[in-house]
Amino acid sequence: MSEVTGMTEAFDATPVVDRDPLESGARVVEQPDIHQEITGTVGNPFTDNLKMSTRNVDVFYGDKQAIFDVSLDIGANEVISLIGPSGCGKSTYLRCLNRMNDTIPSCRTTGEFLLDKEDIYAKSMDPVLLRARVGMVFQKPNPFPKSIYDNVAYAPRLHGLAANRAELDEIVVSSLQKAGLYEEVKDRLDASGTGLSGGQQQRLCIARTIAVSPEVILMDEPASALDPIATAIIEELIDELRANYTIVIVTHSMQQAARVSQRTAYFHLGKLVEVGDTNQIFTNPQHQLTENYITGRFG
Amino acid sequence: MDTDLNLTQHISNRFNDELEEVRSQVMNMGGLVEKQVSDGLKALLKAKSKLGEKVASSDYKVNAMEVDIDEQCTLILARRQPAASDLRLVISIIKTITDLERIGDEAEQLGMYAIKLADDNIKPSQFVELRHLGEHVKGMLHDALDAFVRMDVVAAMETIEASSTLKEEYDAISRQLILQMMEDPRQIKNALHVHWCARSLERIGDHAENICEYVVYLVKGRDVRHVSIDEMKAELEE
Repeated sequence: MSEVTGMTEAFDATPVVDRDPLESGARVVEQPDIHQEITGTVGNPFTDNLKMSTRNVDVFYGDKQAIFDVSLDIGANEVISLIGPSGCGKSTYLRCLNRMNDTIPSCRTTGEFLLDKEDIYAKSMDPVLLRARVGMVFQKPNPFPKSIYDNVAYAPRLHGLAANRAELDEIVVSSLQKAGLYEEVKDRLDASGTGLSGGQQQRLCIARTIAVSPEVILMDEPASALDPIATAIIEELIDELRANYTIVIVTHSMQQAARVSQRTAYFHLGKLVEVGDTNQIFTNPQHQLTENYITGRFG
Repeated sequence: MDTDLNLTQHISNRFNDELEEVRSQVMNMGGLVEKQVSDGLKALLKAKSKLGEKVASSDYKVNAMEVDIDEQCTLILARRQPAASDLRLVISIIKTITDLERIGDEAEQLGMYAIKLADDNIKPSQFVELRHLGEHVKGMLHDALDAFVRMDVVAAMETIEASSTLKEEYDAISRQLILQMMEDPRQIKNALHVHWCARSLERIGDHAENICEYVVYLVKGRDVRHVSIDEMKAELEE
């Protein structure tokens, strides 16, 4: 308060009344142990426009539980972002959506996962085919050490999507076009994919994912290794891809989540704390932990 | 579920300092504007032209503070990209200081009328109608600033509710002045002066009400502008 009075005096006027928020009966709220407070999910985790639905998901790595009772719907043609501090389980949850965790021997997943009402963990479900329907783009661009053409053509060949070379050419070109890369590489499709810049490599990986016409694309921090320009291009691309695909994106950039997604889910210590419209989450979150995280507070 | 508004818990201490600094400057500006209104009213009611001059010539300080706080808010937006309650705080500060600056302008007007009053040798007794309205407005402004400092939605809502009687008082003064003018046309000039002052006071009350609405937005994240008090309450109870 002394500083306040001092500054006012500099203007040759004393304040009419001194204000001290604490002395004058401000409502001071005792802070409860907030981690005990995650009893369920705040906001509406469900949607009518259903593409994927997950219910009561628990994930264990050996004895350690990484995900606790997460239920969340993913709507068709929406971009949903998963945010939260490192180790909160968002990537683990993302990897459940196309059974990437199957490759980790100690990992055990329970709960219900439906893709268009079909159980993706059913015995009849082939994980390889599932991953063609639910594709993935990783944090670090990881093109195969092959030509640009072969990078994109690899999966269509594997799945026998093209009857002849002309059809394969068409898939490669249209995938590169959708990924916004074609104009930059059309004269050097035989050049190695690893020779491209970071941002181009990431778009090549997106083209590779699109080549098998997936329904859902999972992105694990797709732009965190890229410069601002490449990031902007990827974000623009995500917005365009939304017309044809459903996109689930894990990101550490608040602004990116706010820019690209329609819904946002906040994870903390393996629990889904809050989910809601992105506009609401970033202007008026309902849970204290969400608020603390997106405003950069201790919590 | 309500979230706490705690300015001092950011991981970045400099961000804490920046928000605290800009908020304390808003408090300073509020204190100065309150003083301007109080002095303007006093000068008017007691025909103190010296005090009136001081009020009129001090308005630049209010303006300078508005410009300064505005710039600081711009820098915070550019540097920190605040979200959630931080964003709402910066936005409500930017809006609050605009209303405070306008209140400063109205206080300046009161000071000018006080000077005119003394020059024209008009007895201050003719301005007594304004005393009650003036006290009411001063109280409202004080409560609004208090609610802002404490981020107190309940107090803000009470102040918004109190503003309806202010409008009634203003209407009553208008009617009374019209009667005076009809009875004695020689009084028209003076009556108009009184009316303009009443108008200034009523505007100040309106700006104070706006500030209270920003408090509700800041704390609750709900925009309660341009809705009736009952709708506001219903909105907040949701």
